[in-house]
Amino acid sequence: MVDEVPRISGMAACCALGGDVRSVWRNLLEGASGLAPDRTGTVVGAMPHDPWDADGDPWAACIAGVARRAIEDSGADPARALADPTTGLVVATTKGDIEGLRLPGRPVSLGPFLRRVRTAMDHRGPAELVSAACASGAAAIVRADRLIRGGVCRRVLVVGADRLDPFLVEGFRCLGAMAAGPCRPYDDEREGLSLGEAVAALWIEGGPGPGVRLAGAGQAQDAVGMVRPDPSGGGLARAIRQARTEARGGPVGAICGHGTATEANDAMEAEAFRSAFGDSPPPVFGIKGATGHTLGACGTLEALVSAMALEAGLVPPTAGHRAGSLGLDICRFPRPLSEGRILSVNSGFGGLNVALILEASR
Amino acid sequence: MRDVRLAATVLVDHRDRIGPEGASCWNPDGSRAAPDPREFFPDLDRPGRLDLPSRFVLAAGGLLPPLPESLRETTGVFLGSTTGCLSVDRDFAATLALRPQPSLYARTLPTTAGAEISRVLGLRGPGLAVVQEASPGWQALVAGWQEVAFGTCDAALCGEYHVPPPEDSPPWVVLALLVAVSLAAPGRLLQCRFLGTGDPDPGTDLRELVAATRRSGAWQREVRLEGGRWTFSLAALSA
Repeated sequence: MVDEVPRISGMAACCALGGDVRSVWRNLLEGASGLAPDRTGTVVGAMPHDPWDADGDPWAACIAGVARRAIEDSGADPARALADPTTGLVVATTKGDIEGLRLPGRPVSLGPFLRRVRTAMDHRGPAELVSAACASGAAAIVRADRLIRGGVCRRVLVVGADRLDPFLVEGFRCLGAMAAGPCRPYDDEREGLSLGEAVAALWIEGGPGPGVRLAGAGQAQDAVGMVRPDPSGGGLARAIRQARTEARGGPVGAICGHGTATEANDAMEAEAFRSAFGDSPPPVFGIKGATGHTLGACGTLEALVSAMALEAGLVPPTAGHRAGSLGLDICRFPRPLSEGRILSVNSGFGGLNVALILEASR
Repeated sequence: MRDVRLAATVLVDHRDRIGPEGASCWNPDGSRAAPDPREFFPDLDRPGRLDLPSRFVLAAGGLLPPLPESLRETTGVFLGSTTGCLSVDRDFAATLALRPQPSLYARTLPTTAGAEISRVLGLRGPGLAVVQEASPGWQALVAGWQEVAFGTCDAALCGEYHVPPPEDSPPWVVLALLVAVSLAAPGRLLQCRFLGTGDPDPGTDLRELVAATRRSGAWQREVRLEGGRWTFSLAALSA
């Protein structure tokens, strides 16, 4: 077992706020939103990308491109790093390539998706594709931690990826979970989520060195229902407590909330934060009012944003939020980060909850 | 790191009853009826809403030895699959042009079957689905073993469900219950180091875990159920 806490030494992203992490961070700090109506009038967070109907496997190529940039960000050579048998790959997604259901000749199952991604990036080491609904991206980071600390891999590339598709848009619409306009996380007038798409990649290494560290992680299920979360926030609160225990306590400077802007989720989170921290939880921010809900990618993307916030010492604002009475201190404008730790949480269908505590380099 | 025991395994596999692998019918009478989970959980609410993978996983879960209430709070669920919820995806996609069905959409995630068994058994530890072509069940077993070994949870219900569309191949489910040795649970010590590559490798599915034990003649308790139109054989193995 490896004692060192794994650290994020490289990151890259493509989402509605931009095609690189600097753009994403700058736009987030400025309170910009990438949400806009698509050609059907549905407000979504679309990412800048090449046409999906290009020759080859453009979706896998897009994911591989972002992944290589994360490795480059650490100073390593992507080709050499991906060919190293001690480099693991954990892919997080909810639907992979659901468009394949409609297109003849395309793989229709999530099963082959991992092989397609590995082929596109020429990865040779251990690999797995995990799904924990909308907590998938965070669960993949926990898997990376276990693979490194368990001595299976020396470094792990975590990639969260989900893209917009009519299957998802109509699915959330028929559930009554979509907002008519841009979503408004933790706001009293929130009416549902806005869907988005993203690829986010983290290059996570064991051993000493620079980078934001994964100080603790917690995972818990509600065991209550399939769609609606436990209104008491019990599952998420247990995940948070577990993460804080693993991180050996200590203050948290801010919470990167799941903040889907659905009535049930945001209220559940408020209960969970109070249960875990008492009546005055740390300040909360959320990014889905800027990026949309990127499903299997959001946990990775939000950990990435949290890492950037730790490096900058700033808490970003919550796009779309105006006023709320959930009893939370929601950041509407950038503010200094008071402590060197951020808690990032995600919850998904089926009552799956994951909490991560990220810590600035000392 | 803690030591981990393999406390019990359950196999739901009816291929023996229907002839050669690849047969297009799941039942001897040619029907494709799925197991009725009320055979195992009589109080289950609204069983009609359940998707096929959930029905199989619940059927297997019903054969597990009872878990103490104190353990349920810290038991995780880690399930692998090669196809995830493909059949539900197809059913929901077919409704898109007419009237999309919210009850179907809510089940179009590969985590659905694991969430159902968690809800029914009250398991509140971590939950994770592994979906890939090769060895998803082994990978899920390794993930569960690691979480117990690291102390995230005290027990892990791990396994794999193989529930492809009817024309492809017959279904089966394997569940394995792993428990931290510190809890003095019965069972064999289990060491996990396997980590697949995600490439096709059909020789390593989790059924071998149970099949090998069946061949050895140890720990074997075979149950055969014939309820309604659904027939399949079950083997539950425990110390």
